[in-house]
Amino acid sequence: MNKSDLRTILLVEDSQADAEMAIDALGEARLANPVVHLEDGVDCLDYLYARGEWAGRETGDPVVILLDIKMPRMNGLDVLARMRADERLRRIPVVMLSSSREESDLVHSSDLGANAYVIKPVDVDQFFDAVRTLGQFWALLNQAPELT
Amino acid sequence: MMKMQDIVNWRIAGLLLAVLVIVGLPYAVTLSNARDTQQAVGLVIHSNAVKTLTYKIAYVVNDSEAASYRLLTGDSDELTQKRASRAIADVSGLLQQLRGMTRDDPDQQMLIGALSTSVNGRIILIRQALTRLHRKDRAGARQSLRDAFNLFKMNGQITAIVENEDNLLRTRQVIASRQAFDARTILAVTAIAQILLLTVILVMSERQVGRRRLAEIRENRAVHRSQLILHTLREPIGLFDEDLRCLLANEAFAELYGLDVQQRLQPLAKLGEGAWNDSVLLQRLRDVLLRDRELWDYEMTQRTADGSDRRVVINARRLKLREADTPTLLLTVSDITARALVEQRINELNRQLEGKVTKISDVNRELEAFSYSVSHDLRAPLRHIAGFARKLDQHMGGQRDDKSAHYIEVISSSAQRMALLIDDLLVFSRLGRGALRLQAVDMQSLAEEARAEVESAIQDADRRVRWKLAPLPMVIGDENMLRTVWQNLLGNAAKYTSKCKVAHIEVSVQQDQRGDYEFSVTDNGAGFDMQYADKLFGVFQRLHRASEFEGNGIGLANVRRIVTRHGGRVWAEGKLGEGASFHFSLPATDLAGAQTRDFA
Repeated sequence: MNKSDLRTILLVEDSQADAEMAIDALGEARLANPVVHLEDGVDCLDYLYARGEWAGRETGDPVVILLDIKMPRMNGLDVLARMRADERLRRIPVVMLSSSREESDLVHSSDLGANAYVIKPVDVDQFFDAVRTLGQFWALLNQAPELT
Repeated sequence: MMKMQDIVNWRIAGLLLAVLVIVGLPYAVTLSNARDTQQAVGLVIHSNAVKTLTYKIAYVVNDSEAASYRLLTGDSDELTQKRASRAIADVSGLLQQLRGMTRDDPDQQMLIGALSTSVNGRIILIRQALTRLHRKDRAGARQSLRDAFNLFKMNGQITAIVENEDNLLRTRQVIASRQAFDARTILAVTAIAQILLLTVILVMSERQVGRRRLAEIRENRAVHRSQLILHTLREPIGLFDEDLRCLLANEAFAELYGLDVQQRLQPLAKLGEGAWNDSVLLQRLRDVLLRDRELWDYEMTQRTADGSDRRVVINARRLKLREADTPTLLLTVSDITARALVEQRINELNRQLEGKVTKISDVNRELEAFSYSVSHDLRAPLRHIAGFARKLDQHMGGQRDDKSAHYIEVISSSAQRMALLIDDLLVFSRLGRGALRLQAVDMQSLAEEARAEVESAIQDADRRVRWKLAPLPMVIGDENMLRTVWQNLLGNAAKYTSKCKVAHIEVSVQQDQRGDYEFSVTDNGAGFDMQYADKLFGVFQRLHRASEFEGNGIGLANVRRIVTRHGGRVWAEGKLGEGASFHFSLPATDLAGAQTRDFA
């Protein structure tokens, strides 16, 4: 199996610490899919459209995107809105990650068509469980529509 | 109006006619009466003259005969001869005269004709006797005189003429007296009519005068009344002539502009401290007079007699009562200084209020941003602390001793506790910010729900809680917020009775005189010292140690905030070890007070 055959899990998270924990948790899930960590929304869109820093990348579209809401430059909700407006990107599963229980964030995400909404708990075990399960679900179980 | 005029005209014409008849008729009657009388007198004289003449003819003839007899007896006196021949000379003239006097009466003419024949016969025989006597034929002369007396009887004819004249006179007197009676009757009737007419005229004119006097009194009264009204009005009113000179002004006007009421025709422009000396206003007022353009609510500031500047509204219109009148200007002034001040103040307050509202919504937006930021940014480091403590624990693996394990445990549990506190604080702040969603809320079912929830959370199987829930009313309020109230109060009651063998929790309600509801939750739990009662409802304030009863101390603060926003109040009574009782009130229906606290 070629490395490029395995579709990536995209983690978009500005906090290094949160990203490290999430990557750890995904590692514990023993997934073969490579995890790509991006630090904000602009990076994320560059990756998806294979431009700028990511021009000419060989990997295909990610199997799932774990998208933080509050980020510098472009936030998660804006990225989600751009993706859902794009014919090619609209079917990629997106899991919103948020520190907040703010109702407005939740409602907004759901309106824009997020596939899941996860509140990052302070309880570390809960966090690890959540990310692990999510990664497994989207990477292994969910049969995303075949994309070329 | 026309009709009235017609009636008056007809009445005058009728009156004139009546006067003409009543005054003219007696005059005519008197005139004709006088003529009749004169005529009657003339007739009597005439009749007497006729009678006298008739008797004179008889006398002349008889005297001639008597004189002839004397001559026959030998008397040849000259005077007797003259008497005897007088009849021959005079009688035909007398008869002529008598005929002339009775020419209009055919009966008399006939009688006079017969008389003439007799008289002429006698005269011829008398002449014959005188001739025979002259020839000394005494016997012949005597025969002739005898024949004259026997052949021509004259007395009967004389009597007939006199009688006829008397009859005529009598008839004429009857007619005259009848006419005189008619005239007297007419005069009497017209005299009565005159008296009546005079009476009518007198009464009518008297009544007219009385009516006019009454109208005058009424008019005077009305004028006086309107004068009184004009002067009593607090609104200044003035009447001005074509050249804008004052004709009339009420007391308010005089006072406001320092107008001397005694002095007439003062020009408007010179009134007061030149309050009216405004070229635009004066032009507008002239327009009102010349072109009949009404001046409507003209607003301006005037320096008035008391030296203060007043805001006034001026209204003016042209008055032209009759065609002949020169137009006058009616001017009214409304002093709106106070109103203008109030308006200005209101505007100012409104501006301030708007500023405050803007400020409040700014503050609210900032608070929103703040709490959003808190919920994201403050939680992230806590998550990291806990997360990396866990990683450290994993990393140390077998090297870790009890102490380091304990430290790591404290670090992560503290981080979690702080996260909980942050969450509570966010909930508390959200309760104060959002708008109340008011609706009819069934307190009974909310309390039941909360009781079921609390019951299911009790883990200790041995615990027994005796609930006593009174029937609760419907209220107007925010359902979610009121649910939080019941959850907190019943949850607290359950928590603080957890050490009792049998817990008694009672929910009741009362309605006060104003209709406000007062809900109470009473338990027989740990209670509290009333000394610290004011601390109960503060944020993160606790009267018990966490090791005794767990909790953050946010629940009652939330309860107070919710109840306060609904316009009610909350308080508690308790005794250490004997239980506590929590009360909150809600206004029966009027939540106007609650809504204004949305920004609280």
